[in-house]
Amino acid sequence: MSFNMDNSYFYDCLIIIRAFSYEIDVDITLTNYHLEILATRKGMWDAVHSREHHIEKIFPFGPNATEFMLFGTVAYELKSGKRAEIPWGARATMVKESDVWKMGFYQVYLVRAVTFLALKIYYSVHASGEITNHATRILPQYRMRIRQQCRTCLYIY
Amino acid sequence: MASLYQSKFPPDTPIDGGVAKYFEKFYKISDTPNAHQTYAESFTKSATMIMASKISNGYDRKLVEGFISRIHMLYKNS
Repeated sequence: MSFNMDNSYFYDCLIIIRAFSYEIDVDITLTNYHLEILATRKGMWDAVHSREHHIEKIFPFGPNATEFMLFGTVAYELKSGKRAEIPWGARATMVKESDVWKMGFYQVYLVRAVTFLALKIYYSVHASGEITNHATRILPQYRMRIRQQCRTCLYIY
Repeated sequence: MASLYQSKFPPDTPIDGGVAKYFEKFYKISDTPNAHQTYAESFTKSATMIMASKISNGYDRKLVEGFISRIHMLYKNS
């Protein structure tokens, strides 16, 4: 996919999406006073009706390893009725606590939502013929549409 | 019937059976809507979890607060 990074419309998309993601972060932080992981986990389900992980492969770092890389897909159904399937990767470090395995470190890697969404919106608007001039700034009616799409997308991540 | 959450491991590398079971259970819990507490307890109390750009430190918030108060003491003494 070729893409002109000088395009001001793309940057407009990014600026609006970033600003909106900060608003969401503030909301999450306010509910984070008790247990961070618990709060993040609850936040993840805010817009989600159901989801299903598929774990394709797990790669251990040597025999009887405690460090792993994993990858798979996750299928979502949002409360809005929309469905999405997203590929993911992760790094996990396992710790045995009084004979029970727990995770001491867990990082999930996904395609950056902001970039992905900005590209998606950029191409959908172009394909519909609503914008023909690359220098066109985002009109107010598009701003609202981008915000709505952000709300759905950012809650997933 | 194989569980939906079973994964493939390298055939020639020995794995602790408990770890394989852990991952199977973890993603099952992850997909269970109201299992928030069980999910959090899958981590150690001082765990770091990073979801895309969202970083969560610790299952036990007290550890973080203790650390912050130590920083305050240093600031006052200097």
